[in-house]
Amino acid sequence: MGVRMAAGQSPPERTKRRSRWSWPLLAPLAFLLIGLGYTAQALGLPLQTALGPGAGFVPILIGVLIIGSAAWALVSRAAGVPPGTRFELGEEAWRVVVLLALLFGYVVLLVPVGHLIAATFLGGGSLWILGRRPWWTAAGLGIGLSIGSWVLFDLVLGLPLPAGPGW
Amino acid sequence: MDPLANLALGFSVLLAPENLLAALIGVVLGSVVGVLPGLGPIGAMAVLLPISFTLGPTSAVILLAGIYYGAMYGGSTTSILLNLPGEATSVVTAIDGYQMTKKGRAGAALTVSAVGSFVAGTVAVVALMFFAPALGGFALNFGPPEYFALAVFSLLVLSRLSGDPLPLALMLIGLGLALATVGQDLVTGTTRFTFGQMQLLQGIQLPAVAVGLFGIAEVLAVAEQRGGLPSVIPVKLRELLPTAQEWKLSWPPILRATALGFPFGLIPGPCAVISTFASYELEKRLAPPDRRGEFGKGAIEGVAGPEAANNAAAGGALVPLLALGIPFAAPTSMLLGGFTIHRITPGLLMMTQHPEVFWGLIASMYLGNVMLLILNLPLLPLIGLFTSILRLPKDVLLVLILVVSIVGTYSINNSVFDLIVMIAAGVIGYVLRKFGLNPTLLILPLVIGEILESSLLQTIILARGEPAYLLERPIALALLVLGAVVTVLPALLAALKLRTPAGLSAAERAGQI
Repeated sequence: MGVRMAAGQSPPERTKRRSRWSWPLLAPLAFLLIGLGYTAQALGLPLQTALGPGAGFVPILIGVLIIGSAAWALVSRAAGVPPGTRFELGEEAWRVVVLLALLFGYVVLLVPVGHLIAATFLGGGSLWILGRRPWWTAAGLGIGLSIGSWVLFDLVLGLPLPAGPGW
Repeated sequence: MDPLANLALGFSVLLAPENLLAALIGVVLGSVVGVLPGLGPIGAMAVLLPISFTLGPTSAVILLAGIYYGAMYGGSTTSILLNLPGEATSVVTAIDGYQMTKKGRAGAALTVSAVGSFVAGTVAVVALMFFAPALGGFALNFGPPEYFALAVFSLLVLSRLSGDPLPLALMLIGLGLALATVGQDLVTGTTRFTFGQMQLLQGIQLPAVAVGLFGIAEVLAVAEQRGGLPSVIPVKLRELLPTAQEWKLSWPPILRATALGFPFGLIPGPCAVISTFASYELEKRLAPPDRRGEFGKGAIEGVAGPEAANNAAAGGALVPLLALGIPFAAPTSMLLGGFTIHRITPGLLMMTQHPEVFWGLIASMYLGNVMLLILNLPLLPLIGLFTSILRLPKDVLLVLILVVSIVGTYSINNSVFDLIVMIAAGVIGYVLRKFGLNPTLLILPLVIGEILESSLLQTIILARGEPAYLLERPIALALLVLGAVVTVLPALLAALKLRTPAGLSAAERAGQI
């Protein structure tokens, strides 16, 4: 998330704060934490066996690589976007959250209710959110997508999809 | 057997109806994927992997390879007609290709692009046919130290060529390697980083990660933007063929780019993309003064060169995969994933023990290039068919990608857990884009992480704690030194440049010191 300016700050203060902490540095910071967590886990693995290096040997090296490069990125203020780029979410960023919820919904529903209902929920819901269509059009297209994908994968390609109860 | 006899074997394999069909479906799907912005060949190969399950190993490999090189052709269509590159290798084509469309020369640009891609693609297959077995024979000298050095070399070069600052590239490569260590350690059998989840014992599945990073993340990124895709400019029949002058201007760039692109494909990293920029710059420099000004305004050389270069590089990129069994780029990593699922190990063993697979693939690439030439020539209404995909409402297109992605990922292992991995990878891919980081950097380390670890451990055991052991392995030593030079040299040169008076004043002006 972008570092928002606190109200009442004078312009020089704002510039100073932005120059020290810009949002792109959150990425190396997150990687530093990931590296630390990963290395902590790796330290619990055997480092040496009777034959040679153990299962923890390479993970520790990888952990050191992640921590070292993330620290280097923080110190050198390396960023993947040009300096001064503002953090921007799209105009319809809320749709990302809803799409993710629909995807998780499919995952939760797939086995208990089967692919046809779960995919209708995912397809119809996504179309309703993305296309701003009337719900019955979105639902109709969702049913079409669900049946189409079932026919392609289950019937044509012989890759069984969960059918749900009673099938 | 000599290469021609082997090729004859390949064509006899290819003539089986299922193999011909696999080649056709592969190149058509590749062209469609090339037209669609976002999904790209990596995501497409991952999503469409289940389709290959119903096929035999040879047909499956032919299908997946068809998607890979088919996407290289298809990307140019939307670049030229819409200024909308379907994938990264077509970005440069859009510069002059779209300007030609605006001048009413879209047909000429599409024809030159298709012919250039065909010439380069075919020459690349000829080179692949001779290079891959030769390199495979050379790889007989490779032991664990050489494979370890090769893996390290490819990751180091990738870190420099990805376009990201070095620490960020290394950070992402580290994460990819970390993901590769999840599951049961193949050397000692120890379970690592599974957090008690049985599903993670087999490790993190590459297709699920690839679909998430490239398919789901793209849908999320497009979904947050308002507005639709631009409309297609119709190509008129009278504009279809290039003039004699346009042909004359196009042939030298096509031939130069073919020679330039193939070796680019042998370098680890996104070299097909880099080859297009290199070819464009080369043509601009070689152009006579009166033509140089045309670049950026609709120069046909700016379409012919880059399109030929990326197709030649795509062929070159198959050499390390087929000869050594190590992919040097993200799309060929995905191909390796497909090979592995079908229990095919690329390398010299594949060429000697399963010649029908290797030579069938080579033969399919000859035929595939002919099919792609026919599919992509604007003389036929097929181009219109491909671009008409973009006339679908944006929401329907996105949801179609979403449903195919999720069903495709589930079908690989019938695993709900893979869907969770896919969604998590989608979120990671979306966040990485926000931070301007390159998600392809995760794929190659995830694929070669296992080779890197096992070869390192075997090297340590063989060396018995003696670092001097590497001095007795000149190939491994040369690869490691080369990798280190490639990584350190640019930083060293930049530092030296900064120390010169001109460099100092420039840095001071930029406020760096």
